[in-house]
Amino acid sequence: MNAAKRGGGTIEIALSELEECVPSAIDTEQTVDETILTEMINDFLGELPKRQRVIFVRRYWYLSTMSEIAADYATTESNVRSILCRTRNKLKIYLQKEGISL
Amino acid sequence: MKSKKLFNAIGNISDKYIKESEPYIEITSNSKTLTPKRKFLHRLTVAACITLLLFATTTFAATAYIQSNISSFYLRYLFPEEMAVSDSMAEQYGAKVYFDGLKSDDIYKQYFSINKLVEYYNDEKVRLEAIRAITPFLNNSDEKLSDAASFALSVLTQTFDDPRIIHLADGSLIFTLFNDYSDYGSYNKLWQIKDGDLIVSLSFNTPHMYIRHIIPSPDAKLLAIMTSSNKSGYIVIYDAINGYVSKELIDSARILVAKDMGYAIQQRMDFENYSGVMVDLIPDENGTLRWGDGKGSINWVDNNTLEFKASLRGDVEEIEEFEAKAVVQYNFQQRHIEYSLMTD
Repeated sequence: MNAAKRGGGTIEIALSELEECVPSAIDTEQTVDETILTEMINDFLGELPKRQRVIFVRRYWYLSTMSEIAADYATTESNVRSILCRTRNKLKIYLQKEGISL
Repeated sequence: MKSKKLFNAIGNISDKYIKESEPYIEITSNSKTLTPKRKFLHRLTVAACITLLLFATTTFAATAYIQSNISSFYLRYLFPEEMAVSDSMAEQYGAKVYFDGLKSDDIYKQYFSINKLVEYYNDEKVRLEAIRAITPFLNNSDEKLSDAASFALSVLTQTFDDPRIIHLADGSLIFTLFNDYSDYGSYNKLWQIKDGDLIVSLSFNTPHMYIRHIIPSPDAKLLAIMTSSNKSGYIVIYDAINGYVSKELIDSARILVAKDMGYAIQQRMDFENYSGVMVDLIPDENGTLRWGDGKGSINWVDNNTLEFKASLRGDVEEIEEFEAKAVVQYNFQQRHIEYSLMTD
């Protein structure tokens, strides 16, 4: 699978999608370094149901497209989009709960 | 550009999650010799180049914003290992270690030393010296430090007027140190001043990483203690006067409810239960939703019966998982637990 097909243009899109997960900086108590943030994301991923976790990692680690993920998990793009949206919201609330400012 | 930090952090997640999510790749392309991690790094480099210009222009503004908004230092978790090293040093060199800590320029050392010096309550000479050394910190501009000093002095000067000190029916006093040092609560050790002496009354191990709330019964003979990890909440009832402690109530309720609903719940190796008392999202003064602390979900019905609203979950490894909300009551004297399910 070539990079253009899988990753071309995906990084910018993935970045903009992840922007939704960034809690508001107002009234936050701290900034956090990437190592701690990674630990938190590992904890967060550990709490997710497996299917939700795998789809999240496929999108934001492997940078797979929605259609690739949908094909691999025998579902529709719209379902993948919906799962990712729910997971991003969960991540946002999780980071808020941790009092994280990025 | 904040999303880039999140993006980078995701790039370093645990290998087990990466491997678990590996795509079904047909090995026919040029990228077949790259490991998934290297592919990610390759793309990350491209992303870094794309975003570098914008990032540079926003860094200065972000730094200025952050500096103006940090009001206090941040501690997420005091590891037992760190505490053991400190105790070992103090055993070797005495309280001097902490007096030196107070004199340092390091705000963390100062905070740590203020709290640790309270443990010398029984040593009259150190206690009086600690009062003198800690008093200047009352006016420290860092709120966490001045608050720690205020609490420490409340104990060391024997006024015991801090509202976080619990006065039990037998006249003894209960408190935690490193109060609310983390977003999750205080250090997981309960101290008691009984017959004029300070003793460790009760201590917890992981996953009870923090003491979140201590709620005395109406007659001040029992304590409901809520502890937590970063993932789970726990409650025990503690009879500090006679030295008894109940079973852990969140997990007891979880197992009971799951069994009645036809689920077989297994104990995880790390003793996390992904359950806890119910907390609400409450809007703050800016309208931003914040999690409540759960204290409002725990109530004493009478001197022996504790009631709490619990969010209970089962195995989280599979897609199918048990989840229930219940109002749970536990009678300490009769060792009896009962619940009623809540509907959304």
